[in-house]
Amino acid sequence: MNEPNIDPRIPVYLAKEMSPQEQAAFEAELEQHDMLSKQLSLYLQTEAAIVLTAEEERMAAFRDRYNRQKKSTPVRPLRVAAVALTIAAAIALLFLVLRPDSQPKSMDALFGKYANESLRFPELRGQNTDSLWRTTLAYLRQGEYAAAEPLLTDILADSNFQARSDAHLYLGHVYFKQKVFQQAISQYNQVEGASVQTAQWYRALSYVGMEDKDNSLKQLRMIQKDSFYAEKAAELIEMLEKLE
Amino acid sequence: MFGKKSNDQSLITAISAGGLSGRKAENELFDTYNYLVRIGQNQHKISEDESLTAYSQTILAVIKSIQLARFRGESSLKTYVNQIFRRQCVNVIRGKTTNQVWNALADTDVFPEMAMDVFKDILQAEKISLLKKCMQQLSDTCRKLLWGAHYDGYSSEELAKMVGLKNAETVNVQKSRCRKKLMAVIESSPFMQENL
Repeated sequence: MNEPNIDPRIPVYLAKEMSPQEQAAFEAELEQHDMLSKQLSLYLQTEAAIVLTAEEERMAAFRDRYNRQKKSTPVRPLRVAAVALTIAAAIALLFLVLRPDSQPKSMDALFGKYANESLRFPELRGQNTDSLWRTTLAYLRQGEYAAAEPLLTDILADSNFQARSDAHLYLGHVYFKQKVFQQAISQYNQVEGASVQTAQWYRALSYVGMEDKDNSLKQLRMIQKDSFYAEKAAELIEMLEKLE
Repeated sequence: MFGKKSNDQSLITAISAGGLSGRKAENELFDTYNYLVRIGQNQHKISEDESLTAYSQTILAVIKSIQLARFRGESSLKTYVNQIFRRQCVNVIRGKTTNQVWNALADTDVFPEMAMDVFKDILQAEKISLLKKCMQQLSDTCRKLLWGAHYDGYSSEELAKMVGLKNAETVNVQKSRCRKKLMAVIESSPFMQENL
């Protein structure tokens, strides 16, 4: 078998490395000389033979790789079962953590459940025009209870201040938020009129915060009878009673 | 998000560079998305073998696209692989099997126009089958050298280690001989002689 000779210009031509003039001249030659075009065809077929078989080889290698990996992977049903179990466990855990009636385990936790509700400090009609009151309200609404405390004390020291009941409620909230429960209760005790039910509820919560179960239940049972907070009180009573 | 992009980029860079690290990256690419074989079976109701063929062709097409700089990273590799795989599965269902590299070369004007005409003529199935037979007449070392140099882009040093030759120079001499031998086999094949 004779080894064929290939014109050295062929690879240069195929690599598009000829100048336009060189390329035109070479193509003219290709058209005229049968031998040269046969060499070009042979060269391309050689390339094709290599590429096509290489591709097949690569496909076979991929197949082997896939089958080897498949063999070395643990049995699929077991993996599926393991994944399913993990998901089920995660869902169960999530349900336990997030279910709405999850029972707090201590009075402290019970207190946390209810005491984090945000407090409201509405304007008092006809009484809130002076700058001291406006500043106090601003502090309360920003949650700066320590700053509001002396201002509220000053306001209550003014015998001409009319909305005393509300000021006591707000001062009660100031102590409640700072967990000074005894003083909070003392302020809530002085609340009268429309805010009484609110004061009752927070007084009960103050007892919960003090972990005084008996007084908490006593206050809550009163609320449960007739109050805007009756439903919440009933819920809290149930949970308190479950605590050891 | 950035992790994926940088992983895509490192794979693309390694595959473009070719050689042994390129091959490693190609295998990594293959392993990364091989769950598609199962998806192909479930979604397209084809056999595992057919799905694996479609997937292997997909990966070859992606590799070629990267090497020919046709994949520019506008989408993620995952999206690109998925798109091609879906097409390949449809081809399998229609009973079409394609040579990815071949098609990629034919679609790209890789050669001058006049040579492309000759090149496309070689696409005929009988010729392809004969060319493959010609390649089978070479020794194992010759085939490895030609594939490694012309398809996988291995350097002569890498090839020397792979086939157990002394050095890069020996590889170059051997490679040239193997190529000439292949040409001679093609030239002497009766069918080829008619078509040359």
